[in-house]
Amino acid sequence: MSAAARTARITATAAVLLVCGLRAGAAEGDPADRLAAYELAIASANPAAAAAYLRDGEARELAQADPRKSAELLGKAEALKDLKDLLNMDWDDAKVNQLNKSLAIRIDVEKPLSLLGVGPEPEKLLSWLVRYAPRYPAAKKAAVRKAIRQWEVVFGTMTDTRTMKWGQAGWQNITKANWEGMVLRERNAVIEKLIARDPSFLIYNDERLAAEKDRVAVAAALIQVKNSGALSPAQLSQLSGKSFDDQLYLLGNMFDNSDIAVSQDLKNKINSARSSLPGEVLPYQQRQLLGGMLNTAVTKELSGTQAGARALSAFPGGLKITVAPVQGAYSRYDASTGGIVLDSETIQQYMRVKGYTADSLMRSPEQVAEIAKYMSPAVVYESAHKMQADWAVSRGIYLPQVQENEIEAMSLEGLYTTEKMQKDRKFKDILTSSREFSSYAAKKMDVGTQYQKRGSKGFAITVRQLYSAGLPSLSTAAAHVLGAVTSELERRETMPAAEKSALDSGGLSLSETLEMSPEELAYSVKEIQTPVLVKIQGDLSNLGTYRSRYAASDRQGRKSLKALERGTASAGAAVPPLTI
Amino acid sequence: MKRLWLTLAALAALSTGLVAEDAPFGALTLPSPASVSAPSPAAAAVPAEREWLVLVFINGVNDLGMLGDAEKDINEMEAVGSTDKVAVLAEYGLMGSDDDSNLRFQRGTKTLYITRDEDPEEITSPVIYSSNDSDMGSAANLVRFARRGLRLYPARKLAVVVWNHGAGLQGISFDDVSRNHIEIDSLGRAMEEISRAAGRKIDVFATDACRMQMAEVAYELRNAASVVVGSEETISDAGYPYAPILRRLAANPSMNAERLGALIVDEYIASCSDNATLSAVRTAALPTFVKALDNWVSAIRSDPAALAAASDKTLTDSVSHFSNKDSKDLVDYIDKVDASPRAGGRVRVAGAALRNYISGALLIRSGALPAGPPPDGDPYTAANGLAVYIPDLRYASDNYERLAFAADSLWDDYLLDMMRERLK
Repeated sequence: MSAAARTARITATAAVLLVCGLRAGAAEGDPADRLAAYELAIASANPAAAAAYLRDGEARELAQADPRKSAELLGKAEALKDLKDLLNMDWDDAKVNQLNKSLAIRIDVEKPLSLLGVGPEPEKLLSWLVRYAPRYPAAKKAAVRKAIRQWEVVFGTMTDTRTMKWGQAGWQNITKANWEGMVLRERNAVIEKLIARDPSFLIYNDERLAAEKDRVAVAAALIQVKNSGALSPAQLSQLSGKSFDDQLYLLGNMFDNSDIAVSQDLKNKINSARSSLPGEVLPYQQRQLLGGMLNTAVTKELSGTQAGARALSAFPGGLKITVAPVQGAYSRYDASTGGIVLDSETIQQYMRVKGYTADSLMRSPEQVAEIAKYMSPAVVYESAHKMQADWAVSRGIYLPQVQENEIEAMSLEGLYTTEKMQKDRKFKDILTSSREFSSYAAKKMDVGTQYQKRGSKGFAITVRQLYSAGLPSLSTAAAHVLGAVTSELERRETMPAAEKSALDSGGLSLSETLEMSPEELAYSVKEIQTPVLVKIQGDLSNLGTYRSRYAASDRQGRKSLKALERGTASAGAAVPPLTI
Repeated sequence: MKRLWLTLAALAALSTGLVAEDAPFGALTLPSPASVSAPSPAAAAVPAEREWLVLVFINGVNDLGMLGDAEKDINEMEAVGSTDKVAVLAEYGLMGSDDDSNLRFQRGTKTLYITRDEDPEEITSPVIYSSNDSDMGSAANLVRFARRGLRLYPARKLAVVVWNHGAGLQGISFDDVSRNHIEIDSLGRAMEEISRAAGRKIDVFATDACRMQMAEVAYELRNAASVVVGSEETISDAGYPYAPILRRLAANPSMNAERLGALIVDEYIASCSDNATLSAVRTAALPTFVKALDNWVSAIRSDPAALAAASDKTLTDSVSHFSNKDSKDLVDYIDKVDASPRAGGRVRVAGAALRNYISGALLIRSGALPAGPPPDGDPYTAANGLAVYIPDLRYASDNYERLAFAADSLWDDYLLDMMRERLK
């Protein structure tokens, strides 16, 4: 065949890919031609071609002949397919800010999508949608425009300049032209500053909006208590002139030390929102003791449930719980100690509402057992992170912090909460009664309900959309890292030997690299030792290893959920640990 | 506001093998990681060990960057530059605005090897590294910068300066784009990591940032740094006077950590006309300081009258405090408590021992000028080199209980006792 004829065939195949992507029938003919067609179509950011390439084992195997090119193409294909999968989800006005987070980590400087022309300026996504997703409903397109913070959506069509104050730097201008050159995180930074002066911008930050709503609700409760006639003149005078937070705190102290005849609901609202009184604070020594007590109490709590048994299997030497403030979370897995840290503030909030003190907790096994029940879903959730970390260590591979880890961890937690809600009356009472005042309890119950209701597949979408929109998917992470690593390895091929040698001896080592987030890793490739880069490239070129594990975990979860629904989950039926 | 021009001096390029580049602020987007091929001056050969490596982490991704303070300080450093005995590196992230006050974001960060020039307006130091990882509120980023410096410019002694807004116990290095900042416990861990990478303690850790010289912050750094320099009150807009500090260091590179700490204090105080505090703390003295503090606190807690006096709101309100009212001068507090008629002999003896230890062993140098007229709030009335957390009514357990100082000292228990007293 002549070169011209081959070019024509490749172009034609690429054109087919452009229109509809290759399905089963298209994986015919010369794999080399298909590979060339994929390259052509993927270079124009065609998601259908990307998906077809990822399915075409023959073409991918052929691409392996040039590992650098193969890794680069794989990264681009994963990024495109991931973008299409993301946008195929249901997005409406209520989920706009989650979509914003998802897009902000995908469309940025030097990210694979930007290198394909879908960014870094967010409006480029709109052009891509016109070309590759013209049939999306109007509501979804509107959600995308709002998610990318299009100028007209944020500031209206009547102006092309916005003036705002930026700290000590004073007044600054934001012009429409300037805005259109900003990436999403920069636009979000501007909006955050605007929120401080104009609450109408709160709609762009779900967390701050929710916090503001909570504050308004608590303020209403405070006014209700003050107007109830239940406070003495002396008590009212004590509150007078104090800040909002001081009033809540003082009121909490009054609830504890006098009979104030207001509803328990009002008391709970105030007590949950205020700072801890001195007796309610868990100081270091008491937190140490509590951690030890919880090891026993939580073990008892987890035993007899499927997910709990699996969580316990992650700690062959016994649970390792510590209690400490965890900024911005209810718990965390501490890879350096192999233990779980439970947030002391979450525990103190529960204590405040229940009227427990640090001393009473230390003296009462019943109160400790109650805390163990309350916090046990968090332990199950973090045990999944331990299993993931242990698995990566045993395989000697890089474990990126990605949404799939969260889907696995929340699924295990959801399974646990579902089972406990069915079988453990006291657990149900504790979580249900706490839901109104505790965002922790509300979230844990919500995860359980969503997992049971939506099943594993639907739940995975929920996690991606609602709970971990700010994390990259495995595909996104792999695409970003692979692109950066591959480019860097290419650069090193022509690097002076002395420079390369200095880098390989003094650069970032494997252990340091394995601790990095995908983003940090991608942005640090210039300082990582060459053999480490090669290793990371190998790990992330073989996503099947990761996906097999996530799939096995998912199957296990589904099986357990079915058993639960059929009522055949026997107490103590331990789910075997994953060996994938 | 002045325009920032980043120009690589031809001389520097010739001497280092770098390719010169000249980019106006508006075009200050970084090259992609792959396209940066300039070797560091030390990368291609076995680098010679210098006396000092000075690392300055300049987070200008906020209003300070927009005000031009970051480039002013880099230009001050360039008045001296690096020498064969002292290498100065700056990690530099920025946002700003142009002449028409149009907001501009710089993407990514640059590592500058500070070289000498005569131009106080333009930054001419070569960029030895650039990255798209632009989060200047990330402790991990700070650690990577330090590791880079240690790898490329080995030296016998190490100084690390963090330049940005400081908020005492609330943290340091606030990045307006990532919306991250470095919490105090993270700062401690980051410095320990740098210390491990260096194979020894950081000789001097300094904060060119407001309100960071607190007992709690210094204690968090006790295992990582030998000398901690910081200010109880806000730092002036001009910040540290880098030119005279580096000039004296370059003239006498054999100076040890304590001398450099004292030098920074002296030069900073000399550069201000009022409203300035700065001190240098010897971290090796911190364990004994905590014992002396615990001793004093135990004496108070064992004496109900003394505890009532020490907790009295009128007394604590009279203690010199800084722009964050919960941050109070420790020595002034000891003085006020000991002066109370309700403080017993044991309290006074323990208080005197503590006061003497602070001035005689803990503080290497402390400087303070009278407070100027404040924009808001009361000016400090005394600044003896070390502040401590004393809340007004509510104890912030979510933040304070994360600190090693709370775990290792009795101060947190004492504060809880004090807050109990306030509720009576």
